[in-house]
Amino acid sequence: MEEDKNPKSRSRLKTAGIIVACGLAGVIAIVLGFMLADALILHAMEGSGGQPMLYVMEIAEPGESMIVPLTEQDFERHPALNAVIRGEERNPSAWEWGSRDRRVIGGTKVSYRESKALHETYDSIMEYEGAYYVILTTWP
Amino acid sequence: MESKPDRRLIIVAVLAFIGVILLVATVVLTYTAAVALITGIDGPTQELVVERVQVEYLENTSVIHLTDQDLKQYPVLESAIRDAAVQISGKAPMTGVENLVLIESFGIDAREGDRPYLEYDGAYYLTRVLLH
Repeated sequence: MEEDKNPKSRSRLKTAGIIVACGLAGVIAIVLGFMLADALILHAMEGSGGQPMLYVMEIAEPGESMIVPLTEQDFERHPALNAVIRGEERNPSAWEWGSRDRRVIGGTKVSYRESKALHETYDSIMEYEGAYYVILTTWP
Repeated sequence: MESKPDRRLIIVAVLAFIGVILLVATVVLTYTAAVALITGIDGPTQELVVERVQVEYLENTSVIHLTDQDLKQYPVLESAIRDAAVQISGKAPMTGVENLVLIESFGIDAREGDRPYLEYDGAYYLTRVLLH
């Protein structure tokens, strides 16, 4: 009886092994595919000659959205954000501020890579010294 | 006994084949989806039109005095203004986000009566947005 069972369970194990290996190969291939596509897009954009920009918009009322406080670490990690919010690129236009509830306070040139990182990291409303900000990134 | 290595080889080959197909499919799908998203997210292409105008009375109009830093920070506006300074009228394509940024900074899309004049280097300009 045991001799009969062994080859059966072995082949079952083999089949299970193959399925697991197929699944693993698939997952690895998909993850690699995403990474490769990401790199390809950045490469294509950087070669396009366009100049991506980072803009910071100040909003009067944050509403009920989630608010993330900006820390010194954020400014250290992203010098572009530092320059626009509290550095030499802060350059608010006076247009309609007061009657409208938002205004752009400045902008600066960034690389596509930096633009993507900023866009992914700061997708909610940010708070710094009592003012509320959102970021806008342009990909020409 | 002899067929064992062949079987293994076949399994490895099948796995590799599946892997390559999935890899290529993911790359192609992600790339096309992302490019469509990047180019299509802003809606149709828009164009900023800047016209140089002669201004005689500035009493009831708002004027935004542009600085060199303004032009440096807004490449679309810079491109259109530089053209308008030479040829009276200048155009520059822009995305929806760039349009929003220009509206909030210089009121380029405001209603006719509210539209501010832009002044740079002694010349006055009016703006319009064209949708394609």
